[in-house]
Amino acid sequence: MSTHKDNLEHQIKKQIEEREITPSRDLWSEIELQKEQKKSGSYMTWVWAAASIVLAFGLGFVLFSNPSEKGKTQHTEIAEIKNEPAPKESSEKVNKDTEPVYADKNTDPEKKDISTKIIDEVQPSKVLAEQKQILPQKESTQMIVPQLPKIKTEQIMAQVDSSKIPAKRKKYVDPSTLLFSVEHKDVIEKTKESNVASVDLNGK
Amino acid sequence: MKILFGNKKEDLLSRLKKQDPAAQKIFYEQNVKKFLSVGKSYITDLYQAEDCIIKAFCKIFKHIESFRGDGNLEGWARRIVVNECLNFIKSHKTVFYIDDINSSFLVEVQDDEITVDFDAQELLNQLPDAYRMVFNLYVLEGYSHQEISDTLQISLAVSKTQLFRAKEKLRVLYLQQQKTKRNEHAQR
Repeated sequence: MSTHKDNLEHQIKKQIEEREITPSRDLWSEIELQKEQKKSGSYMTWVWAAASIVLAFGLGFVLFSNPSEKGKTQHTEIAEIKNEPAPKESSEKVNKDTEPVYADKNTDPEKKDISTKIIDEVQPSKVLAEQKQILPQKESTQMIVPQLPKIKTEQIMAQVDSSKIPAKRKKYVDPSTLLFSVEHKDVIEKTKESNVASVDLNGK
Repeated sequence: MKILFGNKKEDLLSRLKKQDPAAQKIFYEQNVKKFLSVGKSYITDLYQAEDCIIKAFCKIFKHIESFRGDGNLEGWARRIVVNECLNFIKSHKTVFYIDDINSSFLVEVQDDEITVDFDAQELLNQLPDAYRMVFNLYVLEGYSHQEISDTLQISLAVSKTQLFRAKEKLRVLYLQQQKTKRNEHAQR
């Protein structure tokens, strides 16, 4: 009978435990080589990390600094454009050419004068007289309207910028204008075909 | 002598933890032959076993800080060698674990007389990878079936059947080896 110590596994274990195998090649030099490679690899990773950080900062500096400079130059250009044409053209052309624009936007002080004049003239007179007086007003508006296409959009823009007039329309209607429009509804309707500015004057 | 030996070991460990190349060389010289023997019991090809030993030594030196010092340094390093060999087999070979044996048949058969004159490595070389891994872990490394199942990511039952089959196969191989030896001896 074989004992536990004599069985095959035990004998195999004994043989493997007791033996020593000499390497067929110089393993130590290969171990040293691998260690150096790992060291150099880790060193290279640090170098790459440092380089990437520097690159990131560089790119960030370039990307964030240049647009701000460009923005500044653009602002100065705009400012120059504003300053140059504003005193010459706006002062002259606002009075001449851009009257319809202001009339259209209910921002011209002269428009108010016109409406008040008309109302002043209308109120004391009779219906026939009113019609006669409206016609001149219509003529005056017609005088304004043909000038609209002559105005260049650039000029309008320049004038709007230079004079700093708010582009938004007023939402409310002048009570006197409203009264005038109600009283002369039929006359206004007749003038619709000729694109009279009086429609805009009344506002919506 | 024990105190002197212990101090030397402690010195070597502290020097290894400081990544001292001279200490690493000493540790290598002390253990390379033993570790290569262990590696050879898992990987039949010597060149591939040597490659695994190189990788294992690099890992030992790199992760020496994780060795707590409460156990045996050689034992800790040997486990790294074994793991490296197992990883090599897993990554380079397809290992089949056949689990078709009823556990009721897992009754150990006592060997007859075992002569000392036999080549254990030759027997191990003829075992399939799955048998050899389980047998080596259980018999040579002293792993339990639970540890083997965790290490090789197999079930306990598979671990047991692989060991049983490995022993059976080894016995057959041993008998064959003895038979051929007897024949050779008779021819002389």
